Amino acid sequence: MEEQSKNRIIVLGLGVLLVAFVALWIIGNIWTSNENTSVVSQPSENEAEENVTSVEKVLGVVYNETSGQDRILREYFSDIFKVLASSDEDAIYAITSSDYLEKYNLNTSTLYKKLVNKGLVGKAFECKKYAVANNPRFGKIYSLEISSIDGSVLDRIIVIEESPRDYKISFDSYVGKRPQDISITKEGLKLQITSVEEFKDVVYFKIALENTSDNTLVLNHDRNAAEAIYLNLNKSTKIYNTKDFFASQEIVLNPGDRITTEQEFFISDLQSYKINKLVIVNVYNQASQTNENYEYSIYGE
Amino acid sequence: MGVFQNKRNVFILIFFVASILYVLYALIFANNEQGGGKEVKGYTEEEIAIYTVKDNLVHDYNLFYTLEDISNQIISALKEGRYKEIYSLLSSDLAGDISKEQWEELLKNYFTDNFSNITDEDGEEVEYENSKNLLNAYTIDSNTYVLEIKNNRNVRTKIGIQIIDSARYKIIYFEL
Repeated sequence: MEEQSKNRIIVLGLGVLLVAFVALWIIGNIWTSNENTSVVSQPSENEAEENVTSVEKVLGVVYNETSGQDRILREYFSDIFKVLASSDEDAIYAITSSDYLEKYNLNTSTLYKKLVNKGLVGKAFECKKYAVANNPRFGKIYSLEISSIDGSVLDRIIVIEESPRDYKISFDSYVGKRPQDISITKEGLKLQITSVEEFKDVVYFKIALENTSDNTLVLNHDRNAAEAIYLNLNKSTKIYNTKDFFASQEIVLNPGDRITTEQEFFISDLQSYKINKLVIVNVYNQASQTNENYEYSIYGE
Repeated sequence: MGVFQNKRNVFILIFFVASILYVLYALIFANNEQGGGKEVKGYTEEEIAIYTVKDNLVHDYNLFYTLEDISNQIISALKEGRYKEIYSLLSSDLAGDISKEQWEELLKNYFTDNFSNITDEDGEEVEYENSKNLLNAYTIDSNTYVLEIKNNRNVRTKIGIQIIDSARYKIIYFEL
């Protein structure tokens, strides 16, 4: 009996060894077949480099944080300056932003004439300085200060990039115009923003205010039009409207009344991505006889 | 060996080895018809269309250029007729039931339609430029992307890829 169980243990031991051998053989085969299924080169020896994702290490090519931006800018400078130097009307028109063309009502030849008058055509240029900002409404905005090689022309080109290599340019510090579909109602006062138009240092909001309550609301109750509306940048900075829309007058909104206006704010293109709130100051509620600031989170908190 | 003189012990050994091998087969081969590596799903034209939208655009320049390197590798392999290598990169779904020879034929036609040199209006041969041809890249998930590439007629053609690890990728979609 004892002999029999000893034999059984030996048999099972041999079985386990055999299975382990076959398993190793199979895994080994799979491993080597994997190594032969790709035409991709092996990564460089420095693959342990920190802060580099596996995707970035594919092909053994590792781009550091700024090299991608430097490379794309070299592409943009080369392409834009080549087009301007070429005096090719169609090529210039093709890379110009449709917002800019619409704003100044330009076609191929009027755009060309305008740029000739600015001295931007048929010359070699270089970029003296640039600034970049992420704009939630337009994408990445590059503001290029350019100079002709002979030094006779200094100007600015705005590059509006939706994604790498997908960009348009504009002139006269114009960034563009985007329709907006923002509608927020707060305590009976509905704010609608229908469009935003941006220059390098100015932002225009087209807004409508509608009294949806049963009470009469009074805007600019303290008649300080210069501080009637402001934008909040990252909660702390306040940028007040610069157009005297209220003309130092109270605006009485009876139930159902609606007004539309375009409000101008001086905000640099490098700051405009920070806009998060629009605030209507001192809205007077005749029923409760209280003054209140109405805060609208237009681009998140 | 006295162990094997007992028929019952021999039967136990055979049964044990067979059972373990069957389990191994089920675990490894049944889940991996290609015989190794990670199984990668292919994508249909409809699925690709869902992902190639503005919200999924790749904005990161470094990733963009890395993806362009991959697209250049695929185009170079097509140009040089390395169809077997391309075939080995196809996801299991994409390779499907089509034979390697049939795939080679499909890839030849795909290359001719998209990346071969073409003749312009003046009868001059225009070489396909394998540079700055990645127009857009879209993210499907953290390691799967659609590459929108400018072809020889300035029309966009799409290739889907999935990164497997730091040295390998699979092709999940060709706009054949």
